[in-house]
This record gives sequence, structure tokens and C-alpha cells, in this order.
Amino acid sequence: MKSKSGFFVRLGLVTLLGLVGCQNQSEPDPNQVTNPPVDPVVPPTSPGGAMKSFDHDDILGNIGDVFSDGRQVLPADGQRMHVCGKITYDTLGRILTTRGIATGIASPPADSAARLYQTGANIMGVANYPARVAEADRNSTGGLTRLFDMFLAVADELLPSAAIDRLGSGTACPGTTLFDASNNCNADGFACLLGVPVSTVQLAECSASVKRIASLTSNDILRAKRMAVATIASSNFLCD
Amino acid sequence: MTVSSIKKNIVLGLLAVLPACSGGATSTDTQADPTGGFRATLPPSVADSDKLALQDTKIDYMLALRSAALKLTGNYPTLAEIKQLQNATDQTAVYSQLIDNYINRPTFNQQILQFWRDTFKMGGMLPVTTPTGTVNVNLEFAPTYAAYLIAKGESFSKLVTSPSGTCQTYNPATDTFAVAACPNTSAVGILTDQGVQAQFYSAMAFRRVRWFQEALLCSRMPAETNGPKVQYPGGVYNSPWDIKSISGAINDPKALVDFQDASSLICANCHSTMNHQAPLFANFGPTGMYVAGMIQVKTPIAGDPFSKMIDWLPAGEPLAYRFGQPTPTVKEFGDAMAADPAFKACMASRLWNWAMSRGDVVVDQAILTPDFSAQLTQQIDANNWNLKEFIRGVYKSAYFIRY
Repeated sequence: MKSKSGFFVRLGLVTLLGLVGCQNQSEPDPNQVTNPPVDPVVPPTSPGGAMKSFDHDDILGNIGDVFSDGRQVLPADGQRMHVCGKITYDTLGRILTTRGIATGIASPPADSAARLYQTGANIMGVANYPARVAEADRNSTGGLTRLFDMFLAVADELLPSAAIDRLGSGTACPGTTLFDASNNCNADGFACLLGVPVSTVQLAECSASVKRIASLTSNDILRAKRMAVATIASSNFLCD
Repeated sequence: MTVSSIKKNIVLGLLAVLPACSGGATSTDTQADPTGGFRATLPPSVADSDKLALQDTKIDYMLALRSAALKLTGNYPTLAEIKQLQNATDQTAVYSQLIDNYINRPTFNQQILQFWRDTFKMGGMLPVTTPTGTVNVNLEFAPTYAAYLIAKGESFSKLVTSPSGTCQTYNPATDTFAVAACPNTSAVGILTDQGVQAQFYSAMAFRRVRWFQEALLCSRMPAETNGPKVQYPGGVYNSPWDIKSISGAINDPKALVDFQDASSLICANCHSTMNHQAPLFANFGPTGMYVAGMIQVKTPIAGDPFSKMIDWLPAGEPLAYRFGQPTPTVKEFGDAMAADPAFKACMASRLWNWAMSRGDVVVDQAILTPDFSAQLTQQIDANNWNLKEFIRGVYKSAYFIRY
């Protein structure tokens, strides 16, 4: 790819993703209420528990009585986690499997989504119970990188050729495709992939981006569609 | 296009999506002074998105459904469910129906079992090396019993009190729980579970009582800090227990472990509670098996001897859940824990954090305010310790559906 066309492709995706990221936020909400209950937050008022206790884990400085110190997670953190919690390893496998990517197959090909998934269990933070370690509740940098690589492979495998769209081969949305015959993004297909509906604006931008990317890549529609899928899926699944 | 260039594109895309996620850029946004740093170059609705997000009180049933499906079913909602909710004229009612549906599925039982595995840090089998060979200890019984109590809508206080049926197995293929014979026959909830005792085996049974405190009461040791403050060279002692109520050099200069040492730190702040509890669990060995009348844990000094009661407490000192709450048996210890408001608040916090994708209440300090905790425990009371109904309420709550 020449650098000039690469710039425009990136520019297109930035625009595309900026709109995808604004999902559901530009449309009025008929259910909005003016005075909802507020998850209360009280700033720290106490330095913690007993002074100079023995620090068995090197983190004892922050101890205290959970229910008397009046501390809880910051509202910004709470909101971010609520919308962007880490997807557990098993759940990620089920999401992909029910959307046409068989993550559990034996001896998957090199660089396939299934291989990256199966060999990525530890980096994605699975539990090690004999060592008294639960599954990580946040993604590590390495885990996010693995997810990043996985969704590049996922895009290729969901769209293995110009004529095949495998999203609907799973049980989550039978028969549904990511793109229609005119290479426009399909609302049902992306809703199935992301777990939430996309807005009309997002959908239009998705379709326009595919065409823009294709025009910059010798009209390689398949590559353009794969890039759109990988980019949008990554922004969704790497949210944490 | 190379893989690296694709990655670059996606990085750029992700950089774009993050500031755009909250607040939502509008056509009226203007370019700010570019000399004021990167943030100042962003449109106000993007630059201030973190502040705007906090004021956003929007109900979003679609995002709520995705989050609920992830926790309750272990998958995203299907397209049919998404469209059912998206096209509903009464989204509140349809969302509520879908939550009920999720909770009634077998996948809910699998999810809640996994939740307890991670909460207890237990699952699968634990190979324990003994002089006679390797013993594989079942680490599934305790989390499965917790899942069973929720799945069946039974009182969750049984977790630390039930004398029978505590060794449950679960078959996900048939979605059935079945009672198995417990290796330790005199059960007190999961407190006597072989897996719990083996998984948290340690010198003088301290890891076991620490686990009870952290997993079931949601706070680290020291558990009791409401005593009069006494200044020592190493700090302040503030446990309600007399410092002489545990073993150490003040009582006996030849004590094997000086829990009364206060020269550079105050061991007794934690150990005043721990030493009154740990002997209750000292008869469980490395494989978690109970041996009547025989202490199975060791005192960590040269020679690695089996502990004696005098290593924890002076003669005549009672075993106790807390100061003023003597509990001479594990059963009474379990009853005291079940009656402790902290146990109820702990379960409420854990399930709330799970729903809201927050971290662990102990490890990550994802704690709740007293007022909010009280609101949640009132719901547990209202549901008579039926945590399945409590969970249903959390996922339908006004907090959960707002983004």
C-alpha cells in the first residue's frame, strides 16, 4: 500500500470510528428522566484501618473497614466499567462461536482466530485456581494486544471471500450477513456482531467507509469490508 | 496492505473512538485555542466528555441488555433479542421479560457457578502431595454449593451454616445439581469443606481465617479496630482484645511465635482476632480432611512442629468469632458469621460489583458507601436471603440501566 492511500484509509477509519464510538448518544432518549437516583459517592475520609499493621501483601496501607470508610469506586471509573467491562475468556469464545467463528476446534490453523484464542488463554487472564488466582477482571496490555490480533483474523474468517459471509452460520443470528449485495453495511449483521444496534448514521458511515477504502485500494471491496469489520469489532471488544 | 498497516489504521481508529464515546460531538462544536495543549484543541463536547458523562442520566436498555446478557448468559444477546427490545413499544416491560428469561436459563446457573469459582478462587482439582502419594482434592464443591443456593432460591445464609447437602455437583449438560457425600462428614456450610480447607491450608490455619474474612466478609484483616488506642513503639494497638489474650513474649518469654511484638509493628492488631479463630480450623490437614482431636497445621519455626493451642492463645482463652462473641465450635462460628451484617453486605457488594463490571471488593477496593450498601442489604432482607431475587432486582435497577 502506498503511503498516500494509507493516509486516506486511516483518515476514513478515524471518521468511521469516531461515529461508531458515539453510538446511541446523538439520538434523543424517550425514556430519559430528569431526576434519577444517584449511585452515591463519598470521598475518602479516613486513612484506612489500624495504624502500622504488618503489611503482608505490600498493599495494606489502603485497608480499612469497607463499610465504614465511605469510599467506593469513582463515578467516572464506575461508568466506564459498566459499559466496558472485560469480557471473560469463556464468554468471548461463546460470542465468537455463535457468530460463525469456531474457537473450540482441534488443531486450528496458524494465525487463525481459533489458534489465537486457544493460545491466548493465559495472556487474556484466565483463572489459575490451584495458585488461588481468579480470572482477571481487567484486561492487561498483552491481553488487549491478543484481542487486537484476533479480530484481524476474525474479519478474514467472517468474510473468507467476496461471496461468503459467515456471520450467520452461528446460532446468534442465523442467515444474517454483515453486508448486503451492494456492499452496504447491514444493520442486523453489525448489531449481532456488537451486541447492540448501530444507529442509522453509523450504518451509513460504515457503508461509505467501505466504498472509500475500496476506491483507495484498487477497488478491493473484500479488503475494505474486512478492514471495516476488524476496526469496528476491535473498538467494541477492546473497550476495556 | 500489510498487517502492520492494518494495525496502524486500527490504532488511529481507536484513538478516535475514545474521546468520542462520551458526550457526543455536535455540529456546533468549535475549534478551541490550539495553543492550550492537546485537550484544548478538542471540541468542548469531546474535551469535557468525562464531565459530561457524569451528568448523563440516559437510560439505555440496549446497552443494559448487552451487559446483562454477558453476565447472566455468558454471551451477547442474540439478534432476535436485540430486535425484540429495539422494536418494543414498552422497552421497560420487554427488558424486564428478557432479564427474567436470562435468569431462568441453564446458562445462568453456569454463569453464577463461574462467578463463585472466581470469588472463592477455587475450581477443578487440587493435587496435594502427601507421604503416601498425591491426593486430588475437589475444589468444586464450595462454589457449586453457593451456585446451588442461588439457583434454587434457598437462603444464602446456609453457605456458612448448613449441616447437610453442602457438597453439590453440577452437570451443565443437563442443568442438574446433585448431592455428593462430603469427605468431611460433620458439615457447617462451606466452612468445613475439604476443598476450602486444602486450598487455604497454611501454617497455624491463618490463611483459612484470612480467606473467610476476605471472601465472605469482604474486608482485610484487621477485622476488629474498635478498641481503645494504645501507643506502642511500633504503632497503635486498637483491637478490642487485651493484647495479653494471645500468645507472645509478654505472657511467656519462651513463646514460639511472639504475636505480642510491638517493637516495629503491631502483630496483634490482626492476630488478636485471627488467633481466637484459627484453632477452630486447625484439625483440618493439608488435604483438607478433618482429624478429630488432632491438630494438623504446623507452627513455622525450626523443625516445623505441629501447632499446639498454646502457640495461639494462653491457657483458658476462649475461641471466638469476635471480641465478646465466643464460638467454641465451627457451628457457632458459622452461626455468628451468618448473623454478622458484614456477611450480608459482603454478598450484596460482590453481586453488585459483578453486575456493574467493577473489580473485587477486597483486591480492587471496589467498595460501596454505607448508605448504598444499606439499600442493597435491605433488598436481601426483603427477599429473605434469596439472592436469585436480589440479582434479578440488581439487573432491573435504575442504576443498572443507566449509561
